[in-house]
Amino acid sequence: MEDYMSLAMIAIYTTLLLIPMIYNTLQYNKRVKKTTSKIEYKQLTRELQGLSTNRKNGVKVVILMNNFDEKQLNKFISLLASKTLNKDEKEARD
Amino acid sequence: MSIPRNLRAGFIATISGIEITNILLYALFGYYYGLTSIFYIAVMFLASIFIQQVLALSQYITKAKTIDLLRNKSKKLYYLYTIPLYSASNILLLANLLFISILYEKLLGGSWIAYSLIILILSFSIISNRTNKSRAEKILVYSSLQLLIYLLAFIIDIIEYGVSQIHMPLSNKGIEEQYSSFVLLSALWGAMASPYSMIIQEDSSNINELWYGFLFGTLIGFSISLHFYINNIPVNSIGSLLNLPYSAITSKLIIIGLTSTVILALMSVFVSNSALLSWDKNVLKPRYFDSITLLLLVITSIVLISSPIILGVYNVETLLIKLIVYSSSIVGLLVSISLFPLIFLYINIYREEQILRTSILLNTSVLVIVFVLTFSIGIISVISSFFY
Repeated sequence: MEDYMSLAMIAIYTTLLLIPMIYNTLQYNKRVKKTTSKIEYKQLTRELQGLSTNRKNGVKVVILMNNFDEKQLNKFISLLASKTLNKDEKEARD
Repeated sequence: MSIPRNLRAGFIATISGIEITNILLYALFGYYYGLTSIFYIAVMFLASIFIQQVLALSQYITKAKTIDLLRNKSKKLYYLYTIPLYSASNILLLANLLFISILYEKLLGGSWIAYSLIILILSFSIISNRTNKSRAEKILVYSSLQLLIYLLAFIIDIIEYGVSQIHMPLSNKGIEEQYSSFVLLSALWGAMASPYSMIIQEDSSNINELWYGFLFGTLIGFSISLHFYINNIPVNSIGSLLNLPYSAITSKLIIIGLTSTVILALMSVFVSNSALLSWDKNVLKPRYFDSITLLLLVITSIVLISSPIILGVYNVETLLIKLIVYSSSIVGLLVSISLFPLIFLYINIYREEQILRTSILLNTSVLVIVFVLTFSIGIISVISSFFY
């Protein structure tokens, strides 16, 4: 009987430990994901701005990038990259 | 958040966290408590992982090390945190050194080549730890993988005896003859909470790898304790820890694994020692590092040289095992004392910080429960050890 009691105690103790641990992990991962995507977003916008100002005859980026979400931004970046690449190739050919 | 990276980090942390006290106590628990021991091991491991998670999370929230926070907050709390941790990790270190030197003496018969080899490996690993940490650690981690032989032994046991042999004896057998069960519990806590990991964990802000550490740690713990339970091996001498299938090869391989884990534990203790002793914010001060390393190398050589004399003492192996169990139970008490200042610190963090407040509150309240439980087990174990 005593042993079953100790097993029950262990079970209670385990659940007591698991609750904050799982909660911590979930909260932490949520936060880390948020902050990293924020950082990536900032970097992307910076890159885009760099592209737009450095090129004299390049594509003008006047769109309000702050309204973009991550997916849209990625799409836009790839589009821009392909366009500028084409332009560079053209120039090289000429 | 990549899974393989976390998996690897967790695995490495577990392997380097296992030392002789862990193996000895898993074996003892397996012998005395049978299948029930796995619940004790799992819950103790969970508690130690919880503390490490709390430390890592507070590092993430405050962007400062726990030691620095305590130092800035109050001197008394700082000393209440560092002194128990410092003494606990060094008690563990000395117990490990004593055990491994006597093991070598017993198996190799006091040839000086073995001793010089150990000292050479020790100094090599310590020097390379300073110059190229990752390489030395990699070698040691790979060589401590030999500890998985216990897992292999457990699998062989199951094949040999069948699962039907593994029933659950809920009552322990004759445990009262040797140790009080509180001493064993406190010792298990001391071995698992490994005080130096509380310092080392501060550097990591990733808390996902801890879950993998928990997984591997409990797996190795289960396999060791169940191997000793199924084969009914009484842990009363050093040699009984090497009681493995195909022992001609495996017992020698396991010694390599034991040596590497002891060295890994040693390095962790060095790092945490220098972190605990330095007053500056630059944690790894070379001056402290050198002096402590030198001191411990001298102690090691003294222990190694004097081990033939120690072996001459009557019934030394049983005494040594008792010594390790009791010292580990004191380590358990010391670790729980060091949790006390953490509670105050987290209450303070809860007042000041704005993010993850629910997490901090939950952690603090569970930390109070962990502290009360482990501290009372530790105190009872100290009192009851006088009656055995």
